[in-house]
Amino acid sequence: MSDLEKMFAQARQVEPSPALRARILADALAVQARQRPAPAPKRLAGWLSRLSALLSGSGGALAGGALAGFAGLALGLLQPSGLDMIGEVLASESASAQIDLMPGFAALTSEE
Amino acid sequence: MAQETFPEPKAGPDDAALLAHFAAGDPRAAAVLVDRLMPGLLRYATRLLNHRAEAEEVTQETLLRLWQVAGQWRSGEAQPKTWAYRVAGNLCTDRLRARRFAALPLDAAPDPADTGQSALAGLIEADRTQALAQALMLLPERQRQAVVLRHIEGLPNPQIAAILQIGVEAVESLISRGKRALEAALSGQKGRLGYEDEE
Repeated sequence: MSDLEKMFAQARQVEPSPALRARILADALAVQARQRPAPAPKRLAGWLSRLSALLSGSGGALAGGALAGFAGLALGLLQPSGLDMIGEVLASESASAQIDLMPGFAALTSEE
Repeated sequence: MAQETFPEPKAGPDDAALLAHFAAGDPRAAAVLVDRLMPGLLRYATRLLNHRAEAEEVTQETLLRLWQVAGQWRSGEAQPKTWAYRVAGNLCTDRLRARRFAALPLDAAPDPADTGQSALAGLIEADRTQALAQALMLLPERQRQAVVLRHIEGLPNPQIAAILQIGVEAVESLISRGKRALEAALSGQKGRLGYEDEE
């Protein structure tokens, strides 16, 4: 072994201190704690879960059509009271209940 | 809270597999990686900087960066060890540029290893290590990196080429010129370092 090789061999004797190892491990655990993936959210139960999966799945267009059909059926069956009220107002013959949906040009030029 | 359990790492998983274990949250993977990578990184930084405290900081910073990229590590690319040596080398370059290294502080030399040898032998050994450290600092930085990686870390030339991001032939040239320069720098000190008595 040459003199230079002997010196290289001696230069390999660099021992890490326990304190350095502890600092590095503390860094590792801190990073690990920060990067730990969040737990997956619980899946929605029942039909809501299935509806969500249908809407977010690859058959989105088909699901959209199904949802529109479902909405139309619901409107037909439930008879919303708001629609009834509007119908009653429009059908009323009372002058006070008249709603002028298309006011004439005279109303716009009136100085009253 | 229930204690998370991880599968026992297989005997001798490679560094990339350990890094994947680490990214998955296994704390034991970090300890194994530290024991594998830290000694070499510390030797490398110590020989590049010739300053123990700064070398420890570089080692810690290098491994901190490794932890931070663990989640994005893609297997099949650079090995963590190659990557870590490259980062450590770059950090050392930054420090050398910052402090415009001029002379070795007296307190920077490592303590001689306690091997039961005589005090005189210990002093001679420390003297030799110090002489080599000073001669290494006279080399151009790339030569110093190549010589340390080859002759102190014992890495193969292709891996050194990957670390330094140059070709294998360029590595061979750096090592050859570096060794010649070291021998020239140390040739006048053989008597003082006790080599003539051993011959």
